[in-house]
Amino acid sequence: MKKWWTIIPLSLLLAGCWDQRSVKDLNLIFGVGIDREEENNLTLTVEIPQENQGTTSGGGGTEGATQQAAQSLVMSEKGQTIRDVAFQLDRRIDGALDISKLSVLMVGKESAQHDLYALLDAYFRNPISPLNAKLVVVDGRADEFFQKDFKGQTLYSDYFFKLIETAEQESAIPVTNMQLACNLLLDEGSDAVIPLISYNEEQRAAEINGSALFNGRSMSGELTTEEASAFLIMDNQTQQELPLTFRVKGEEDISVTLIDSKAKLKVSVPKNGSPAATVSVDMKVQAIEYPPQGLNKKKVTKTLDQQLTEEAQKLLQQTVQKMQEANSDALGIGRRIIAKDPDTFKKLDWGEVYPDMDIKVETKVKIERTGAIF
Amino acid sequence: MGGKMKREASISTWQLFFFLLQTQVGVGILTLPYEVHQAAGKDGWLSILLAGFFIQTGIFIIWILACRFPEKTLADFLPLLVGRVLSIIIIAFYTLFFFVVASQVLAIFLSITVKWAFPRTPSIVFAVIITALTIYLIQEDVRVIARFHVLMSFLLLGVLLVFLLMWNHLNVYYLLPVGSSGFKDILSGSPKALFALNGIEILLWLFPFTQAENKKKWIAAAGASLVVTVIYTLLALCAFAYFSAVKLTHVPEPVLYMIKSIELGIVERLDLIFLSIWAVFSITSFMSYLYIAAMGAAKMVNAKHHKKSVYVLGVLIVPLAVYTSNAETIKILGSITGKAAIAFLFAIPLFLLLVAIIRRKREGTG
Repeated sequence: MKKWWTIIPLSLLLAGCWDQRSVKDLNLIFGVGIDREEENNLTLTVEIPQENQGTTSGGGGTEGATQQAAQSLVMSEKGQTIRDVAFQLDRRIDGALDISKLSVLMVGKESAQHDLYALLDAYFRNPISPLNAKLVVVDGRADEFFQKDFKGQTLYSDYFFKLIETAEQESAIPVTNMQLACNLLLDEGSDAVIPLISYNEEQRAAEINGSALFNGRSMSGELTTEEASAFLIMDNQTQQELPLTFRVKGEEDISVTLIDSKAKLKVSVPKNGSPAATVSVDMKVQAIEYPPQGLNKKKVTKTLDQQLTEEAQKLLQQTVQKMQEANSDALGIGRRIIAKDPDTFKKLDWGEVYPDMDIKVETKVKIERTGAIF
Repeated sequence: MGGKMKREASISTWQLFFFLLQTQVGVGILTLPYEVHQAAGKDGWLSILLAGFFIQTGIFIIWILACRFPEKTLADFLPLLVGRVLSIIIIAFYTLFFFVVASQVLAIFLSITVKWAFPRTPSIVFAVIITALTIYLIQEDVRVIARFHVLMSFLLLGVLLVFLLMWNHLNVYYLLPVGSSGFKDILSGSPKALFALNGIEILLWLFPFTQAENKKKWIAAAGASLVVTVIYTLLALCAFAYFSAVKLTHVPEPVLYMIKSIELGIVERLDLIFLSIWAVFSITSFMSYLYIAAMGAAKMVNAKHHKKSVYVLGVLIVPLAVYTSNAETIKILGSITGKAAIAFLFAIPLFLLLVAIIRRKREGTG
């Protein structure tokens, strides 16, 4: 115990910390919106949740303070680069802006149509920015979207985040984040699909209404949520649930949910000639709503299977067609060709070949379960 | 030399295994996939395997050489082979090499911690803390160091965890077709992997301290190197199957970047957790290199114990590492040490082995 005194100089070592960032000094950004402006400028919008200062009555106890909904501060500013604007905003806000808790990053549709990747550079460069934040394209402008009134919501970014998460789980949009999308934006052999969000004026609510298709780094088309689901089926990316509703013969409607699906993409690259692809999908579904009932009869299910197959085939084909029209190789057919024959791919002008190439879709749907009743 | 010095503490085969493993697994984990990708594209992982194969032959040469002198370290048997003067020169070169590599490890460690986690902390603070810690440990004998290395090896599980977490996001088609980069590019990528896999040369010092049959020592060394090669190759495969080729050219620390996008419920910045695991691996290899450098330095000045040379080298290494911890110098020094590693791993041991065979030198024949 002679050396007990060494504790004193050693504990001095523990105190040093240049890089502490205490939450009380920070303004955490939860949501970001980016829009391109003319002359290479851009508008940055940030949403910062605020503490409820002085709004609770002193005698009310702690209950009142925690029950109250969090307020948020939305600010927009124009500038040359994202970080330039961020520093401008910083001069207006008490406490430093901090990006590390970002949950949603939104980009206006028009801005996404001209090189989305370039807008995100600041976030990829900064090691503290969370690349697992959700990336969405806004129908309209992002700054206006943050200014909209959402019924019953105070912390918008949180609301959008939950909306996106639910849609992901229901396979209405692909599961993606900044990092995953970035990989695809930069890939020569496949293209990104990024969720699309819009404002519903009547309901005063945000709405996920499909996905944006990308050609290289720029947005070039759109899919509806059904088509996005169809894309997910073909790309084997379905999540827990995937509901589909079709109108079958006799003006009857049936809703099914996917139990299991397997998609196979086959690409053939002939020596002389254009490449061709076949997507074959095998879906097993559960009927979740079918008012006419009678699904215990073989005859009924057989015809239903057949009609569902036809309808699904139509949907899948329509999706593929849309992707080709947008020149968006979301299924990664180019990547398959590279994997098979990189030299041929180099010779192909992929942007020219892909929209006109022959992509066959083969679908098979089978009702496997009918729920608690037939 | 009948009157052998009092035998220093010895280590077991397993301790040798983990000692070598911890020396090899170091700062390179984070950057290796990027480095090999630059040279060999998506076939960079083949470069790592190739480098691993080179290392295995190096181990074999060192093992045959060391088997001739099972009771002596390199510094002890060198005079028997090449005479006093040349042996001092060779030892000096080895000492310098290990010292520079140790400083390089520390410099890379500093530059990455500044970049990823502590942008405002002066790097000298980390340099001093880590060197102080290292000095504290490596002034002890080899057994203590080996125990520490064994203890820290459970962290390798953390590296393996990365594969499980990344599994869903991997795209095998990024890797195909295998070998399309051409053998030349793959070959040119392997020297870069050599720096990351470097460290097996310390077997020349550890060999006599290990209490086991010669064959078991070889198995331990070859096994350690094999494990490291496999882990590195898997990490590279993981990074290549995750990032598209263009993206990989932008990210110098692909492994951290890849982990950054994982979300795990409560844990948000998984990259920082991985960074602290990586810090332990870097520090253990820093310790090993500095320890061997101190042993060599002590031998050169005929000191009885390596304690004093540890202090001297420790004081010298801090300014050197801080001064060289910028991207440019790291790159230049890296290519130099990478080339030097080939000499110290293959050329010199092979030369010594030939001398030993020609002059029929074995332990006891001197």
